[in-house]
Amino acid sequence: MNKKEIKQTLLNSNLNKIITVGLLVALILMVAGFLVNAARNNVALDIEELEENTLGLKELYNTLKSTGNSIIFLLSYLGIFILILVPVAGVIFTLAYFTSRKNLKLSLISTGVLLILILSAVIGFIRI
Amino acid sequence: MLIFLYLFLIGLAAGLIGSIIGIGGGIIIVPFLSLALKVPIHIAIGTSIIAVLMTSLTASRIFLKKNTTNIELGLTLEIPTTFGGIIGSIAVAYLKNKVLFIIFGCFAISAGIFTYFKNTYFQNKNQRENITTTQEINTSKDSIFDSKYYDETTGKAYKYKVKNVLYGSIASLFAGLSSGLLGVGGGVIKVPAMNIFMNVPIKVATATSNYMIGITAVVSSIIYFYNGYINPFITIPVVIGVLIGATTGSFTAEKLKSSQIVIIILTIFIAIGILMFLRAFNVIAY
Repeated sequence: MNKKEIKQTLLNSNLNKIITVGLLVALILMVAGFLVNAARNNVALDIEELEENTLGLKELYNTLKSTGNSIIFLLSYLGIFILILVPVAGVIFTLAYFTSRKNLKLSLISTGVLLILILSAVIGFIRI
Repeated sequence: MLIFLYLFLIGLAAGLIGSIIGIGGGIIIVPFLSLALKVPIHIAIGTSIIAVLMTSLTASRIFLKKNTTNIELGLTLEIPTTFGGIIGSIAVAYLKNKVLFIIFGCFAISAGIFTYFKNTYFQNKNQRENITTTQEINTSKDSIFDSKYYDETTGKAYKYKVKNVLYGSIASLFAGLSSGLLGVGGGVIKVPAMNIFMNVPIKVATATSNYMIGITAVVSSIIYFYNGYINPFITIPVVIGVLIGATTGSFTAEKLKSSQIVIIILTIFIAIGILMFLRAFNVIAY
């Protein structure tokens, strides 16, 4: 096995760890939030009445303000949000990895991907 | 509470079928949610993209462990893919339901045809290409994308040389667009593009595509999340179902794979496509 292959193995194994931890945390939060809400009979879903754009950030804020179970409700959202952030953490790690090994091309590519991810967050926020 | 059982079962079926035939579950989740459970299509797509993200991350863990994923290539192709994802996610808010149903119908039929070829033609082609590529790599200079992988089925390591990155980038742009627009992974575009245009072995293409799908899904997810298209009460049961289905499917995939099953899946996808067309033109209400 040559040097390049060893580096790739280290990168892959560390990415694997990041994904595993992120998945576990996200899953625990999502399931916990859902089950606690279900146990308290707070889970009500009427698809017939479901409208598009019912759970935007503004509505989420109002829901959190008006409910006594805001923290528990928030767990489900937090779980989904952490799940979304797992690949972002992977890209940040990859960027740090290539930068530490002075691999300019791949550092620039990783930076490009990260910037586009940030851009999507900005676009999403602007469109609220 | 029965509705959550249905949502869970849809996720379970999507995860199971998806892992058996090697696609994300999005193409199954969106039609089931929108046609069978009457979930608004924008929310169905939002749910699907989170399920696709979960499937991608779960599968990526396995591929990263085996060192099959080409991260350098994946990250490079992610730049056009994420751009496509942004465009698709923004466009979805301006498209009418009818148009979305039509686009999804076309995509489902194309995906069915791809799945058929992936499990027949591409696998045979891959065996031949690996031998050629291993010989070529010794006489040509390595690029940052060239790599090698270990094939468990043959017990051999194969080197491969990546070419035509530009063509792959164009295909990736369309894959990102479909992901943002329809809530699917886009692997049905990326995998054959990498294999045919870029000389990437099918197993590496599948692993790299899986890694990319996770990052692309982030772009769409953030925009869908902000726009209120992700409802946790719908998403969580589906995601849990997908996770269990995909895990179960990955253990049974090898035993179940056969040309007959591929033909059945092809029929299901074409049926989904036709149903989406019928829904678009109000031939079926729901």
